[in-house]
Amino acid sequence: MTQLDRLSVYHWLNAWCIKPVGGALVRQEPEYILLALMGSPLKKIMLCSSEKEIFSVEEQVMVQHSVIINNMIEDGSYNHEESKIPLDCVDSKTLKKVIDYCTHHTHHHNDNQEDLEAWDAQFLNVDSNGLYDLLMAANYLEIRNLLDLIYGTIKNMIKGKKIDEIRRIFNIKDHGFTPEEEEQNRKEYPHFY
Amino acid sequence: MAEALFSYLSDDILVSIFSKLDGSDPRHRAVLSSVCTRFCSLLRQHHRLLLPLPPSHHFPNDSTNTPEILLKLHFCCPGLLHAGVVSESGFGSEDPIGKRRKLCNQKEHLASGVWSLSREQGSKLLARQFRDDCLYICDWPGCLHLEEKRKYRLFRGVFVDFKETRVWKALNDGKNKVKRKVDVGGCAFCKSEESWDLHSAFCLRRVFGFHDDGEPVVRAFVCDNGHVSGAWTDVPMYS
Repeated sequence: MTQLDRLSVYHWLNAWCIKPVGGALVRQEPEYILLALMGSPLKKIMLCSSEKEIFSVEEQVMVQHSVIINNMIEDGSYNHEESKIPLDCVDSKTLKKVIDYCTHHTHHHNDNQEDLEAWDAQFLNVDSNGLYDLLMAANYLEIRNLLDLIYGTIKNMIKGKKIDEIRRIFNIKDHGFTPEEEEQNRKEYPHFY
Repeated sequence: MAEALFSYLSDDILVSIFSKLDGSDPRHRAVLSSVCTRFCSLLRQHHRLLLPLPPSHHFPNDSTNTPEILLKLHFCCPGLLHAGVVSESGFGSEDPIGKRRKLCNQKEHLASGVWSLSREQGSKLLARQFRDDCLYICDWPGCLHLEEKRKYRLFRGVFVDFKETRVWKALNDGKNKVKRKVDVGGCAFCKSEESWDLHSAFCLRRVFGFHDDGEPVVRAFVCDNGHVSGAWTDVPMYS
């Protein structure tokens, strides 16, 4: 099984992974079937926060979401027996949230869109500090869908706001325009200030 | 909300956030460019991000049609004065309405209606012999102004390479050049003080006639830099 091209097996499994459960047809995660066929238990990896706290998480969950972690596993630089992945710029609180996000989205990716969006909204119900930390972590780990979600949230914070309000949100004390330029802008677009 | 952290966001993160905004709404670019010089230069660098700006690629090195002016054309209604619906004096032989109005209602303001410009709308305005000239006009219905006599739907737009157009040649054609110049209080979009009446220069489609009181059904004025301001009115039910 390990000789076969992983991607083509994935596609085959994706097409055929249907099993009846209580009358309803349920798609089983192809990665889990693959691992089950290979005869190994769900592999876990260790992530180490900046506070040196270790978090054990399913390999597939992180590989699915984080490009950085996926690359480390694929190129063999991560040794399951000994290694932990040090994430020096992510604190424990943020790392736990990131793991929650990835785990939920892996296990619930068949949920309907509304439910997922509601969960995401609740997930991002954090203060600005928390949001910033999540953004930095998602950027560092290259978790595309979490990044998009956070970009969208910040976009909503600034959309429709006036210029002075946006300066407050971003804490821009020195806008960089000369007094003449600023005056000209205010004259040109008074409704935006 | 005043967390210091957001000011430390890198350029590519800021660009990603900006790209989530609706590119067809020109307000976003106008607001963000005015927040700070950093946002302004990011938006210039990544100009394709926000706002397709259909005419902008036609004006690469044009100092009279800077990105700021083109942006303003998208959402700024020229107002009844600059669109030639009223005159500053309120009276005079050239003013068919002939009533005094408060100037503050007549100047440029944020347009109602759609904020996109299209070449199609421009070609609907011009007479057939000018069909090769490239004119962008804001889409129907323009900015609605309800006046006592009738409804005016103000529009604005811009010619590409105005000085190369047939319209420009027609306006400057010897004999009646002076008569085509009108005073609409200058251009709403640039410093140009003079405007040309496209209707009396026969640049607009012949099918646009006149109302009973002598007002044109469509009027349009263009400045020396090719910025167009004008107004549609509803066509009379009977001829």
